[in-house]
Amino acid sequence: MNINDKQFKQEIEALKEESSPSSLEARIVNAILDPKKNKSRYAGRILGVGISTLLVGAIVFGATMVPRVATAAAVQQVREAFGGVTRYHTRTYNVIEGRRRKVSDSYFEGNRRETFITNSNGAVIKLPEELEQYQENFAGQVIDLSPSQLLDNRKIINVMVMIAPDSISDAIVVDPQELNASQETQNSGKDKPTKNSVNEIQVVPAFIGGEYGIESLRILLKNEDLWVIEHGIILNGHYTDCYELKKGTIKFVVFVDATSKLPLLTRQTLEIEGEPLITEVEYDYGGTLPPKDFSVQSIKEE
Amino acid sequence: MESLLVEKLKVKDTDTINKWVAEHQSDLYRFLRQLTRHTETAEDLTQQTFIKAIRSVNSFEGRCSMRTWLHRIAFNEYAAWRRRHKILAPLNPSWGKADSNIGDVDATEGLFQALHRLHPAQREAFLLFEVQEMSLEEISEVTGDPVGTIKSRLHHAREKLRRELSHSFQQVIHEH
Repeated sequence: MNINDKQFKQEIEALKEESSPSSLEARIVNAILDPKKNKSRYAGRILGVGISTLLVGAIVFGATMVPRVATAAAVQQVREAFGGVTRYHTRTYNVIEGRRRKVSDSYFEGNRRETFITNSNGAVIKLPEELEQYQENFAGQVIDLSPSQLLDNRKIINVMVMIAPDSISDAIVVDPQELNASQETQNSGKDKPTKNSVNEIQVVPAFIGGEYGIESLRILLKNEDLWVIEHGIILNGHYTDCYELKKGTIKFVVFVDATSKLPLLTRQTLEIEGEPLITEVEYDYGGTLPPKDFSVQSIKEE
Repeated sequence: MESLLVEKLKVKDTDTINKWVAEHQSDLYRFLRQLTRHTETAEDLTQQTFIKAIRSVNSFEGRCSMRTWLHRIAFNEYAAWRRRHKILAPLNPSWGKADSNIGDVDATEGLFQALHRLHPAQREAFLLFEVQEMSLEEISEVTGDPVGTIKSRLHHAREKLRRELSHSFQQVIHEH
């Protein structure tokens, strides 16, 4: 049964009924008429958002995947924002059916990092050094995902790397046929990469959350000298944020950096079966270090 | 008529500002709420839109309506927010809240969810056309994209939404 015009219209009409909070109007007028008040409010807000952005960048991306030049800048900004703080702790939860399950603790100090994950048996183990190293070195390199790097209920069917489309804004929703065609051109070596083409985009799997499990991909986009980070996956052909995942097969389309001076542009599509997890991350900065007895600990549910 | 409004806005006439905000804020809020999926962000962006508008009211030339102009500012604010938000998305503790806020619109859950599986550009075109009831030309003014592109996005958006909603309807029927 297909939805008919009338039903479709009814759905749209319902969207139009959303109203704004009653307090909003007064708030806006006050903000306009009292710029001083407005300024301080926004200063606080922007600072808050900015700091968390910087911290996220420095903690997770900076310490793991972002190219060195971006890492140094992000870390420096965080240090400035926090008056020289260089130690961080992140705790990651997966949220399944409303229950939070702690899956990892990462401790950062300077350039050093230690990550402890909760595996599928409930035991906490230190992230193997080789995997840490793998993450450290990931940016700009060929993505090599072997099934052994994923655990339990997640299964990689196959992996495909595609090249990027022309525009950054379209980078996460692409027509595979177009990509394949572009890729053939790229592989032929006859044409130079165009602006915003594959040489400016790379994607790495995000190791945030699940037990090594790939829950989302991190797309690093290079725009001039600035690296920005996009997240997302392609689910049934549609771009979606990771928290919109539903049960079923998830297809990841992976872009890889063509300037990495490594042989690449292999075509891979990553499909993962199983119920995706939803991840929350808590931050705690200011000097936390890993406890000595942290290596074995049973699973915690909250 | 709008030139008189602009003149009064320039001098920050309180009554005019009150009426101006009252006239447009719900419209802009709804647009931003449906784009961002986050109540507080939508409120902030709505406020920011008005503040930006009042600051740059001198540049309003009347080539488009005040409503379209405000939507363009709102759209730019949203675009800037989206760039920032993407950096935060999977790691920011607040993004889970955005997800839960989807529940605010129970009545439109199906369409709302389906909308957010669209490509952002298709979603924006659809919301501007169907919900904000703008003309193609006005949407072009807001997004800066050619009319033909917008038409194409609308077409694809409708097709995808119909498919998704039809699928949901079928599921509901099977469940009952």
